[in-house]
Amino acid sequence: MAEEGRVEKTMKGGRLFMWNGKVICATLISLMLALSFGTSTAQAWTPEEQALLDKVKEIASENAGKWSLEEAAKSYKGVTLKILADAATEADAPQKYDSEFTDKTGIEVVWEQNPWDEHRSKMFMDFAAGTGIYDLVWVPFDDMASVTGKEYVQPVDKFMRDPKLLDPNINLDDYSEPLWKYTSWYGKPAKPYGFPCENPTMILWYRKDLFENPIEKENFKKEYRYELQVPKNFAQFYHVAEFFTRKKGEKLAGEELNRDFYGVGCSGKRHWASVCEWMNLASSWGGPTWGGTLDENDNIVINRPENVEALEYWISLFRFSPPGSVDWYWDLKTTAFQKNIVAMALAWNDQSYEVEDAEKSEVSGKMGYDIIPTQKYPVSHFGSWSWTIPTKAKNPEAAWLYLQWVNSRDIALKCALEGAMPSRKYVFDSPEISTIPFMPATKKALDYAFPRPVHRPEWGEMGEILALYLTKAHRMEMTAQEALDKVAVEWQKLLGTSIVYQPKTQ
Amino acid sequence: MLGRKYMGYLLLVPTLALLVFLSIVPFVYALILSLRHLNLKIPRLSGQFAALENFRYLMREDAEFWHSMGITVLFLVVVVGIEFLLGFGLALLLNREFRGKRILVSLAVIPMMIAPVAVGLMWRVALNYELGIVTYLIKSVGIPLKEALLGTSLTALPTLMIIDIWQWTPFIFLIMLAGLHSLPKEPYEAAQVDGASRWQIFRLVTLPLLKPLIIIALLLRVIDAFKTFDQVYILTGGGPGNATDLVCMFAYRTNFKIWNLGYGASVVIVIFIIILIVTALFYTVTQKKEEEVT
Repeated sequence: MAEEGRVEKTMKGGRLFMWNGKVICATLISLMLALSFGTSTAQAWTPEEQALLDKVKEIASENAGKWSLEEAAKSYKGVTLKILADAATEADAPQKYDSEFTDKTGIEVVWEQNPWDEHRSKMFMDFAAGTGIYDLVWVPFDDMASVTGKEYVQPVDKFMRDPKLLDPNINLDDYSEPLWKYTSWYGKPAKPYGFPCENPTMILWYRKDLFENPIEKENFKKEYRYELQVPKNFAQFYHVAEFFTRKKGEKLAGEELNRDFYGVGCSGKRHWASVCEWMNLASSWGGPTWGGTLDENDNIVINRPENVEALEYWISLFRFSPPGSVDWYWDLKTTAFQKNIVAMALAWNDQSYEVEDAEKSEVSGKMGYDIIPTQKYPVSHFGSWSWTIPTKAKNPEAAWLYLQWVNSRDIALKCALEGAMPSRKYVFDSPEISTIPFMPATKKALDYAFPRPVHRPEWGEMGEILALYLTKAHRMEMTAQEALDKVAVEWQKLLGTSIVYQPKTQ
Repeated sequence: MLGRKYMGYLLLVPTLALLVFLSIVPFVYALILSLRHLNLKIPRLSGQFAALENFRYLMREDAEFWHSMGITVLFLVVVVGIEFLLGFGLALLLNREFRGKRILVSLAVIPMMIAPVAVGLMWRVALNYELGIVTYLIKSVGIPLKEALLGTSLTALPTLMIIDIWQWTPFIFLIMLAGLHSLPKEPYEAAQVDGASRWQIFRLVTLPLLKPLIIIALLLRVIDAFKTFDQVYILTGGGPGNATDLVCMFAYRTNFKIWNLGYGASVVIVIFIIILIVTALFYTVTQKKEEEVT
């Protein structure tokens, strides 16, 4: 109860500050930060990394007009490549075009796809056993520090430097730097281990039809004294969530509701869904370095005051979220939209196809997409997977040729049109892609994309601990401060680094 | 003669070999792993010898493990107790001939025949707060349900218990019914001649005669309930918080999410030892009581 009271107080404070001068300051600061931070978590290429990229460019220009895939693949004709991948659209799409690769090279391609948990089990088991069954493996970037540190996968720079194997149209400039870097560059000094293959990022989903409804607009203005608009900051987000939360029998857009309707859909399950969602808030409140978990020196900042405030805010949103959402992960959030019971959510862009699918969704064509509101820093939490070639792969060169081909502009565009999330700027900029409703928001969001602390091999366990205490906090088993202090202490045992903000509740 | 003597042993070889490869070898391997610092995710933990450090941490410092152990014990005591009472009660009720008995018995065992994963998925849909049939029925009879049953610490564990009871009561029921069918008639006739009441017949004839079956049924259910994993994995993932983090879920997370195989192996060994002790105690106590009775 004390916690609820505190959250209420925070939000009342939030309402007030909407209308005082601080708002103008906050907006100005946000704008300035947006301009100056943009890719605030991105690290510039180091001289060694830049040297490699320059070398690749040089070889590519020498190879221009001389190199062909058919010629490069001659020695590997008859080889069968086995790929282990996630059960995702991004993996379904290339399979439709694999025959083109086989026709050109004589190399067969066989895919094995499994759901997330099963995929990771297979991947780690296979790597640990060193079977060499797979020539290409999709690795979630959460595991890249581990699999590169354990040398389960091999760097691909040697293939890039080999004129016989380098496609002159590799166009490395096409990759968004932070996306490629956090996904595929690991080690000291960092080396590329592949290219991004599945890279969703979080955006704002909202019900455009409701936001544009004249009755709703009028009512909102009466109640909050400003225009109903796509929330630009989290105070507005709270207002809109509160405004659209209605009981069965009340009216929404002029029609009587036959069931309860909610302003926002949150994911509260003890799952990475809650971690990813909350990390957006923590980063927006206190800065996006490693999702607001660690500082640049890997010291622990998870319990910084901004994060505590962000957690209190997140907990307060659950009063406008369906009661069942305390047990939701991301798929159920999508279902809630499809069933027309929520107005807004922070969601993964790759799920947008699902809410736009008229056969599955009651809100197809009624959705709007934008970047996540900004508290102080503009942010978008992204997840990513990397193509990798296992160290024990039996056909690494043939695997590289496939990797290069499947990531070529032409195939990447075709795959994006099949529903895969693009990672190349070329694909984003193509007219066919930019007209997809959520792509402009996605492209914009990627400018503010930040990763979780995937550079730490301990991240898997850290994420589990965070998920546990986030749930404990929103279930009111402990305060936001207690929960994050506890996370900080548990993380210290794992990482051995210092806690910057000494726990107040331990 | 010699050939005949060894033939028995020879015939046992395939079974023993299977047992060795499927049980003993993995167990010994787990034991070796439990003495090492091995984490597939953390490069610095690459299998260094840890002596008993994993066990020391588990037993003395890991509060999460003991929390899991505590709720597992609570879970199994409640579910096995209720399943036994319901299953035995149903068996006594249906231990007579009537029309439609076969159909009723067949229907009663359906939950037990569904794979636990399917049970989990089925209940996940049924318990969905917004769209599930169970939630709808609860609300439609006027019970106020403010949050999802699996979404609060107060109701998540009891909900899992109810699902387990729904699925496994038929198991006890079937064993007890088969036992009741196979009981000899003579002791009952003798008791009736002696003028025993129905309660006395149940307490002094039926129960002692069914005792071996009861022990086996309870033992199997205790072991099985201790190993409950599928429903927890699908329905709650151990949450909310750690309210349903039964010990097998804890072991799964340690081994296959965090990939701390050394520590995970020590968790599994401790679970194994606990089950062994429970089984031994169960047998010793029941054997003793049997001896006292005879």
